[in-house]
Amino acid sequence: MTNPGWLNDIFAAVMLVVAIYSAGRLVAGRAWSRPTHRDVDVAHVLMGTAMSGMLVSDLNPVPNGAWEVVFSLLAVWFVWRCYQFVADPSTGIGYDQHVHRLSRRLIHLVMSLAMLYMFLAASPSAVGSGGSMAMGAATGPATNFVLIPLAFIVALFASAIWELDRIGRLSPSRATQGQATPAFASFGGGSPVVSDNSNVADQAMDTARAPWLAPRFEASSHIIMCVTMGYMLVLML
Amino acid sequence: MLATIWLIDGILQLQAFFFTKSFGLQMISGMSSGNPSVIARPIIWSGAAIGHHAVLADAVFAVVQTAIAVAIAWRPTVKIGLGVSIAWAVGVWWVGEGLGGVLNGTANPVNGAPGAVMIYALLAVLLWPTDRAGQKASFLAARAVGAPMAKGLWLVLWGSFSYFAVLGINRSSQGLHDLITTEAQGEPGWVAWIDHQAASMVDHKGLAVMVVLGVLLLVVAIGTYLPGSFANATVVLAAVIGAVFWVVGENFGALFTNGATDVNSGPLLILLAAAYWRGSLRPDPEPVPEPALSFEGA
Repeated sequence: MTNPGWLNDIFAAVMLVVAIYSAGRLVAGRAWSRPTHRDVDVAHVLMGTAMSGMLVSDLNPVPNGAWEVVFSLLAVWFVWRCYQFVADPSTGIGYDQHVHRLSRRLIHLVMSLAMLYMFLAASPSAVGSGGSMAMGAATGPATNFVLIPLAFIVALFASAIWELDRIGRLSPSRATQGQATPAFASFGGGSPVVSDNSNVADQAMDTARAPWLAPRFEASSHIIMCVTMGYMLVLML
Repeated sequence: MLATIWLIDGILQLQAFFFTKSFGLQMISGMSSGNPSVIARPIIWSGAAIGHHAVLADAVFAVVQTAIAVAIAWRPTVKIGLGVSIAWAVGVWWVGEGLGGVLNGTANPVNGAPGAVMIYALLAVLLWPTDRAGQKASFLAARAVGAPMAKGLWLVLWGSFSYFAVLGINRSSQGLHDLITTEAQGEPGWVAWIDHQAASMVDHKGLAVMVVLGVLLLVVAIGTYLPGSFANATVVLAAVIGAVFWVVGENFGALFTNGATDVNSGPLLILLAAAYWRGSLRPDPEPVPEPALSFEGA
């Protein structure tokens, strides 16, 4: 029993839009010297592209094995970012200062692991005719570990709801002129180098005036990403 | 939390089974079994209508539940979301759950009866974002409706659980055993193993187990009228019972069978218990300056 093709097509199209938008954020952030979560944007590009390929196999641009490597590395990266925060919470460069810098890193770690799970749990029988992965229920040993995707689903949906709840705080009408913007990637956030030069980055942050790059769109991208990933995990329960 | 659960429900509705005729013609129509004619006819009619327009109907169901989640989570629309969720819950309780087996004698709290969906409605009422003027609530559930009403609703809910626990076949020597054994069908191996272990523990002990359970549920029901720490103890007991129901009787909401429309009552009972925890309301914080953020371009 499989889901309607049009439903997967819709989710795949949405993921492509998010991936393209996130890639655009990376370009725009650098071109306009606007702060943005660079590593989060990169993660959204990778996840959006991979998920669209999982939903519609013709959209998969790389061999399956490559994605496992990509998301393993991405998970390691966010583990490192979590460690950075735990080791020294004052060096929160690259993330909003106002709320939950650790949770933002953690949820992207969870998302990376969820992507990894989806690729690993898919059985050879679920491989589409084009050689890329098609969506379906997990088979084989993965069926005995159904609590893992369930935990992912709960975490992803809770994050989506959390983000939706706080999206009102990102309204431009509440902008504060003449004050420091939060720490951001224009000063190297998203790079291990940042924590090593945190004092320099903090000083830069204090004097920064550039407005954050489209925070509500970024939050919306995250929400859509979480919901789509949750949908795919539900299909694998 | 409530919005998260609604979101899970909305996405669960997108599983393949619900886009087939079987959802309406078998699952929905099957809820009419044993119910009085006045209750059963609308269920049968709805089941047929859903079955014959399965894709459209299921897409609408998924969209509505997801929209409820979004509305509850987004502060400007939280009241609309909660209001719609109450109406939706009542409709689903009738059409989708056959009133939870209340009228056909099959309601058993162990597997989620008399219906998880009514707890959604109850939570929507209790969590309505309005403080009663001039009254200081000692727990979250009392904030919107007042402590007497909140305690009364808790008493009715858990009291009904206690009643259904010892009702009819539920107190037979094999009733609980058979219920748990039936629930194991279609579950992953380790979930079925839990069920079989639990079933063997209550084999031929159904009456004693259900009487004890009925007493515990009654203690929980009246617990909210006890002084603070005793009330909190019964709230913890309620959460534990909810967790046990969710694992043993509800098999994690049957989420692993590809046929679950919701998470069932276990998580909702835990959430409800949290709302009755004395001291769950903190004093209003001192006003703090807005975070220094610049958000142009969003």
